[in-house]
Amino acid sequence: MKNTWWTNLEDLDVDQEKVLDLPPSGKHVIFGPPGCGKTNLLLLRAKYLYGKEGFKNILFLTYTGCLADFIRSGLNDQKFFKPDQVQTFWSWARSHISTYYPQGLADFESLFIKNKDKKIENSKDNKERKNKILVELLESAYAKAPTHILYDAVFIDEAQDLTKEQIVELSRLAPVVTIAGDDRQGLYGMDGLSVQGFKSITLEYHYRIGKRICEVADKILPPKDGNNSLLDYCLYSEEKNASDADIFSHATRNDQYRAILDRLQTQLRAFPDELLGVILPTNGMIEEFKSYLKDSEFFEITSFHSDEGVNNSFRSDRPIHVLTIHAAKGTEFRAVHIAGGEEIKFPMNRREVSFTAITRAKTSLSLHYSGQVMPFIASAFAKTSTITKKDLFS
Amino acid sequence: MKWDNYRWVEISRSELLSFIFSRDRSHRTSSPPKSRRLLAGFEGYHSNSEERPEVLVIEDEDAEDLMAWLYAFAADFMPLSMHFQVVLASDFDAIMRTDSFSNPIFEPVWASMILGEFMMRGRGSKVLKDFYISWIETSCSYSLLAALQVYGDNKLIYDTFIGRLRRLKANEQLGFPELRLETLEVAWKVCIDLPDRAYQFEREDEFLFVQRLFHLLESSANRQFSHEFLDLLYSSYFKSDSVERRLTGFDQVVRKCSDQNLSDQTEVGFYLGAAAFLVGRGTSHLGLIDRPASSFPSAYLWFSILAGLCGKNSWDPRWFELIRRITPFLRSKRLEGDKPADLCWVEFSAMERSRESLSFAKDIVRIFPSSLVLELIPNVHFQIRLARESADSERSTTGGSPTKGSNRELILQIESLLKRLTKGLDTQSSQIPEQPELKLITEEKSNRKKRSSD
Repeated sequence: MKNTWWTNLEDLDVDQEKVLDLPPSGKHVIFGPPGCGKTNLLLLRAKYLYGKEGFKNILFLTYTGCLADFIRSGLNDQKFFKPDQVQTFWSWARSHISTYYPQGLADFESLFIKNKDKKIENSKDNKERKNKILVELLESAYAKAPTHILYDAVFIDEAQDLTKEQIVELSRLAPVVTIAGDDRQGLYGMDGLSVQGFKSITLEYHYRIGKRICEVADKILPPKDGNNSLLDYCLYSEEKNASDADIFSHATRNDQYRAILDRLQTQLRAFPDELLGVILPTNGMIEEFKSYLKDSEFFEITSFHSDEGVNNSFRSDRPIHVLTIHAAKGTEFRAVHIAGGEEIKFPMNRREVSFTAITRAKTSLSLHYSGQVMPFIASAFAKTSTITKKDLFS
Repeated sequence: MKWDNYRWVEISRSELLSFIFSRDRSHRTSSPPKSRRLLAGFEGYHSNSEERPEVLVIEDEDAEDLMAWLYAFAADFMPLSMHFQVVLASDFDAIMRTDSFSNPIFEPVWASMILGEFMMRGRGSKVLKDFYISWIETSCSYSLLAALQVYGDNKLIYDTFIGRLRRLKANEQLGFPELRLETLEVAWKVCIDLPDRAYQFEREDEFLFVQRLFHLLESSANRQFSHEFLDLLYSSYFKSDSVERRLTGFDQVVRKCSDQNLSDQTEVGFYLGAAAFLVGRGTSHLGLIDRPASSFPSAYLWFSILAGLCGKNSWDPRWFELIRRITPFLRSKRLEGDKPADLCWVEFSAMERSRESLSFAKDIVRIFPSSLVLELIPNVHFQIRLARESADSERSTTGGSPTKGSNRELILQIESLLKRLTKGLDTQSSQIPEQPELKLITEEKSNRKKRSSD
């Protein structure tokens, strides 16, 4: 996991160091684009408060299990809080409700029952109804807790995937709350980052994502008026590791997989000790890819992640990680291969979904598809060519 | 040279014993020596009866005889290096003619060279994962660096140094590292000849630098190498900013090396080392050499030299950490010879030549069970591991086989033979002159026998 977690103070720029200098009290929100080091900084602030202020009772929350597992890989040194203090929001909520308000557990489990009608399931009303139930359950559990201060400090990564009300409930648990997020990476249409009463700090520059990948990401999801584009604030050094981003059309899904494996073979040597990601739109495709890989030399060095993640999967010596776009949130890889590009077509948030998948890549990005890909994706990857007017008529 | 300030006094063999046994030496003369059969060097200008010499200079042709004599009459006080620094007269003459050397050594190159040597010995970059600082003193390059620091680029001293390393390598009883000294020699010559030692590598100059090193290599090795490969290193593959494309270039170099069945270790090693270095534009892709370097281990040396010359901007964290740990070692006073040695060359040489190999191994192993520090040339040490423990421990720490694999087996055989020797089953005699048994004891023994038979 070389180059994933910062190991020296010199790795931080002035703005990033300001996050470490935030006071050990109050509520703070860190805004920043992908690759600006939000997750790293959140983890460093947690470690710093743990060591300096004696905040041993820390709660570190993420939205997906995969990200929780990824963050646990940054806690290898045992000097700081324990890996099990990093939890997903949902596993924490279940544990919190069952401890202090067990009679609400059935209502909590009902939140996971999906309506067969996808339109109803994804509707705004349904989301608001579920959010209301959850927040009421959290309120009831909090009211029954023996004390109002349950933790020394709470940290929430990818806060854009929670609602304002959920963040407010979490903020009541500790005197120190630090959250981090980026609206452009929100996949669920939530508004957690617009929570009131938090002092904000914004990181503008990012170092992780290569310029070519920034170009593609900015075309996929252009910044809103007045906001920064990824490319404008990119400090990635192209001199040793020039970035690339390409799109490939294949006849079949298996052809996509074959092309990815060919490339991975080179990348395992080109990027020693680095993580390489294969990102797929659905869990079904993960199973499909897994069986494709079964007899190959890659199988033993590949981790397959479900949305809930697998404990320690990022701490193993497996450099290749296969995961869904949703599970990939917050993670980062030296090279990313997105297969099944033709599947990225569901109506809501498809630009945010693509943006999230693309910005997991640091240096190398490839997108593979068979059949049709959404025009905005094809356009984002397009490069200028030497086509002439004559060519239009030939 | 610190010996400039010594008082030199000619002494006799018996007088030497009085030094060893701390007898009264008030009768000793302090007149200038008429010959140099045995010279003792004393610190300071005023003599007294209590003082002991710091250095002993022995005439080359007398050395073996003197050592045999000492082992016979003062065996418990041997090796002599425990008491004095012992120097051959020929070494003494060479050293006294050497001016003190003040040219700076380009530390990153030599620190990197030491790493390269260990990778070459261990046949892999994995050696560096568990690198121990204590290994440094077993490095031939480290020893040579000491010689350079003490005596400068002195051909006489250099030839003596190389000659003695060769003798150590040829001795089957010792666990000399498995490496081709000839390969190391070429790399050493290049490093000694580096015209601009304080050169700090600029990022855009890496190809120019590979070229400079290539020409230095050609002149040091005194051979014309194929420029076809050099052109490949200059191809668009290596100029690309994409590491994947540079890797494709590396694979082409490897393929070409094997297709053309090149056998010149130095030449192929250079291309492979330089190509791997260019892939990472630094040390990050060292592991790429592991497979091809099994046939061309000198690739590690050239990779390391390039890393040393390019400086810290080209080092990945692991390389940086290792150089940071090694460099203070190169700067320390250890190199100036204040550290005592287990055996000086005179003694080692005499022991090795005058006895049969079996007795020689027995003596060495008895005195220094696992390794010994040899004073190869005065004030230049080399730590050599003896087979008994080194083969196992080094193999386990390096993951490779830096010492001769058969040494342990050999030592077991030697031990078994030695047991037979001590039981009197073997009639093989040592060349050490034996002191005649005292008559009194013989008589007492015979009386005991008589009594028991009564």
